[in-house]
Amino acid sequence: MNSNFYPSPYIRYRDSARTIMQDAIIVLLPPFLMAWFYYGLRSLVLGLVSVLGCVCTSGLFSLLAGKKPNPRDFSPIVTGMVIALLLPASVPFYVPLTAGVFAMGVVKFPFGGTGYNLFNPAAGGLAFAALCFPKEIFSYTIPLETLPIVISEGVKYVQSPAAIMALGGIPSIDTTEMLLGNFPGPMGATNILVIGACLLYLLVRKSTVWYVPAVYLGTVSAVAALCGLEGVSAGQAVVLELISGSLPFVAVFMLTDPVTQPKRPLAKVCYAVAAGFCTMLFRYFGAVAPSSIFALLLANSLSPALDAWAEEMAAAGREVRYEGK
Amino acid sequence: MMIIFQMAAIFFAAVTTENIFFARALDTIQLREITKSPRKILTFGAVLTSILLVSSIFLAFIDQWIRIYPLYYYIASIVYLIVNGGVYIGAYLGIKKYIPTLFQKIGGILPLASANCAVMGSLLIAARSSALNTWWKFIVYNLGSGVGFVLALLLLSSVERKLAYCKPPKAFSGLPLRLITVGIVSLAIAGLVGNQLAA
Amino acid sequence: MKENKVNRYKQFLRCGRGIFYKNPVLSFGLALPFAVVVTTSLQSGVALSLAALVTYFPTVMVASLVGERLPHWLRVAVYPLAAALFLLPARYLISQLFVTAADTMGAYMSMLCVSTMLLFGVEEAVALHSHKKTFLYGLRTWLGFTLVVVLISLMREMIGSGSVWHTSLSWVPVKLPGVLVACGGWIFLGFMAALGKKLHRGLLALFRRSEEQKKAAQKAKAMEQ
Repeated sequence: MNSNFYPSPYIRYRDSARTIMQDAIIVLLPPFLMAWFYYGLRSLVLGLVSVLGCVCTSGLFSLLAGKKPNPRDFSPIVTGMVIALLLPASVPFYVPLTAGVFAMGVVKFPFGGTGYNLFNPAAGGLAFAALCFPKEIFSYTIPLETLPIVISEGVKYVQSPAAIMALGGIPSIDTTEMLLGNFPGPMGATNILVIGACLLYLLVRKSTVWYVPAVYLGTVSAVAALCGLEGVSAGQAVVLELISGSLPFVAVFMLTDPVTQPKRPLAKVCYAVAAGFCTMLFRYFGAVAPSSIFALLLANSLSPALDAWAEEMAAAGREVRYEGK
Repeated sequence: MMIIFQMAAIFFAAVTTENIFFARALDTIQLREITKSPRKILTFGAVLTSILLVSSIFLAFIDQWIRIYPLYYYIASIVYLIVNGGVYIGAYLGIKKYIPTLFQKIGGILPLASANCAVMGSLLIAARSSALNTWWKFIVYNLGSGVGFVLALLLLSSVERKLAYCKPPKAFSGLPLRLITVGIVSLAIAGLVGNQLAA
Repeated sequence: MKENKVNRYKQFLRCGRGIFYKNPVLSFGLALPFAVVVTTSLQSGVALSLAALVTYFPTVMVASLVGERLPHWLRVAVYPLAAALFLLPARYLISQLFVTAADTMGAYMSMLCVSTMLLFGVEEAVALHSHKKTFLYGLRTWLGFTLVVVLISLMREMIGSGSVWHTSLSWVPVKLPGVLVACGGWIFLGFMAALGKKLHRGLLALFRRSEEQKKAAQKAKAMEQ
């Protein structure tokens, strides 16, 4: 028998994968409540369908791999909630199901499951759904018009501010509407105040570091200010770019995912800059698509190289300090 | 000035939206060996891009002569192979005779880097594209393709670093996981393209 | 060699190497551009496999006949040219038989001349030093390539377009056009490679278990006697 001796006090580290996921679920509930307020019960049904799809797919693939499904693993629930919040409230139910099955079955399961995925599963699932169903994903409804659970012919669809800007127009939204999320967009990504509060919670719980979302939003602002939009000032262009599409949601909830982020601080900063640049690249030169989600996938693929580079920088720094002494 | 903008746009499109590795799936043999280190990728990529560039310079003008013939698509593949083969043989013999130190470094990879789907595919796709109707557009597109291929391999090597730490199910270990990884990165780039790419 | 299920299965795999075992696409990752991009409909898949037969098989036989007379560095320039000459009648035939497929394939049909499968096959043909072995190797590799390409085309067309051979299927509930794009092809190929591996390991485990049960039953019988 091997006994290890550790000195007192015997304080166990309180965080585990489960508590991190619990935090994520708690922090995703307020956007759902806002979505319910704006779009009615359909938003909650959509969330439920998405979560069930992810959980069932995850369980099925665990069985196929010969492992028992782990009921204490909350990551499929988090993925399901994120997928639902980034879709319009009027989307047919097969869209979040497709995104969920792709997220669990292709982006997560082949790499080894929770903790081993290279790419953000929700981003992967949403990207695939955007390729398959572009019309459904970019047709938003006006907030505060309660939607029926089964979408009928009478629902009116509008374009989001991101789509209007991509076509060269300027969306007209006043400040209060911007902060409260009273404009067409993904269900959970329009409520800037709520997302800001969620970010504060995550920072207080130390689930994320402040500089990753800050650097990402800073990069996006810098590029938006430099390139600008025709007909508005640089400041207005920055604000419009920051609030449109799924950008605020991705900055707070998905960019800070601990599994796909790099580990070193320098690498994290570069990762956020890369994600910001790619988002604006996709917005200016890409087909109409949820640009921040695709940019996040690209940044995920760069994160191992950034980590390796940051390790080399850190080793070189240590050598310089050692030789200096 | 307009020409420079157009060149930049074509170069950018060739590197990102029509990336010959992710979007068009053009690969070369022994890719697994090449993506093991950034230095190998850069050497291989430099050789591939050089051969592609030189071939495209010749073909930019030859193509305009053969395009008038009715059986163009039948003749084109043979002519392109002859020109590409000629450039490769010329490069191989020339470097072997006149720059032996360089030949020692790249002699092994020169055949792999010259005759492959990436080079031929880029040339043939550029020939078929109606948007690349002048000689400089053709050359810039092919240069962009070569650079895009190198960047794609660098991105792939970045992802492969982390793949070593994954614990995939036994059925997915090795080639299946690499294919799925390339697919997901290709999905990320598809955000720039939308749905369809003409062959 | 003992006559049991495991060895019979391994013998079957060895006879069919290139088709199920050591498949060029799923085991070695050769001919990926074609398997990923061209296989968006069953018609394209069938046209592709016909074009591959006409370029790959004769070129590999020519390589076997020429052997090592051609130095290694010259092979990559000469054999693609030979394949391109063989491709000329194939291109005409396919453009007559499969009009839409010929359009979809575009530049990829010409690329068959420099495909990794062809270059790999040429090296194998030279190394085998036997025309009969090369003939069988070429045929098996082409069959393996065809099997994968046809299966993938069928599945991608069904899931992506909801049709088979351009005829709509009414029972497909949802079409996923994302499967028809290059990324869908890569992922499909990855899953198919994984499925092949899983099938092989599953069958091997099944046969081994059945042999062990047989041995245990024989041992128990011997002990009783």
